[in-house]
Amino acid sequence: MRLFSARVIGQRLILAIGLLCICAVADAQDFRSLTVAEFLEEYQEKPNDSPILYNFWASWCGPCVKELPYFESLHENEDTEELKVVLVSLDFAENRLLSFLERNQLVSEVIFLTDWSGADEEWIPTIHPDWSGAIPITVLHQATEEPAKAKLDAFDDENDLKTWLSDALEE
Amino acid sequence: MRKLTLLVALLPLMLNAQLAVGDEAPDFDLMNIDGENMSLADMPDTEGFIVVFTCNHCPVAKLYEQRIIELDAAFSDQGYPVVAINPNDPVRKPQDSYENMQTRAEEKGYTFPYLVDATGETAKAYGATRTPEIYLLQRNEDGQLILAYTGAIDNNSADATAADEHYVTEAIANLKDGKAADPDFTRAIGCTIKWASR
Repeated sequence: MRLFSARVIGQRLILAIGLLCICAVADAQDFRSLTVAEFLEEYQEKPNDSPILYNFWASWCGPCVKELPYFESLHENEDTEELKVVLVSLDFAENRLLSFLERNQLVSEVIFLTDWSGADEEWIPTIHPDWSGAIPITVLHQATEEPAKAKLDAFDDENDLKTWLSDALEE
Repeated sequence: MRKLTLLVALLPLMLNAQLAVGDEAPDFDLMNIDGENMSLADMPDTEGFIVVFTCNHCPVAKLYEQRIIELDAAFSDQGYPVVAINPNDPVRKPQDSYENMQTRAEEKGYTFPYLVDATGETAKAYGATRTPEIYLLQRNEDGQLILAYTGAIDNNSADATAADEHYVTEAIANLKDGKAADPDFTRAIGCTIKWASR
């Protein structure tokens, strides 16, 4: 007599695969999905304590993905560990972002914009008046400073980001 | 010497200056994928041009590729042919090399020139920042090519059928009616131009 019928083995396999999938999803980093309007509400609020560094990126954007580790390294640096880093994804689909985050664990907060659609005269200049829409772009929000400082293209390396930040951060 | 100093001082400003609506568009002399150089002056009888800075690799450019082909199909016979220019440095983006441009154009059946601007000089002269980015030029009575609209093709990069503002099509309709493009400037999400090393 066989201990397990093919059917039981099949069911167990399905269960095992299912559990694996759940683990994979649980492992993936959390991100918030926001509409552009919801995001702008947060974005336009002045940070009252620590500054916020916003980076607009997408998993399909090569230079954006290349510079993500530079932002991640800020969390390990004494001078910048207080800085809040928010990575705003302009991926076309939420599952693209999800599978990217499954492969690349990020410490920084991630926001997925759900309803951006390409050309938009409302929200793009609200992010920064000099922004044409090309990604990546990085914007630093501070309690007092007006207007926000922006880097309109990718950073060359970690040091480039740190130098830019130390110039942009107010004493 | 003083002139040189002034030029050096102004250089950063000149590089960043974006061509404004109403400005005369600079001509260029760039190699097409057929190996021949091309200038706007080679086609003096058009009503204008749909100049588009685009490339092979950028996902947004790919999403708009079919719409660029359709713009040429719709408007080249009406006096507004498409001229596509790739401003990316192929050293930084091998996908945007001359050979890959030829392959892409053949595969997709481009009906318009696809020019190589590997130094990015033409893109800088126009003030382009991203791919894809449109510069719609209209010929005036003196034969000068004047910028009439710059920005996106429409307002939905991911889904052509969901777009409800067709900026380029509507701008050309306005120009043909003797009116100005409205809007004459739009911003859109795209890929930064991969400039040749400074």
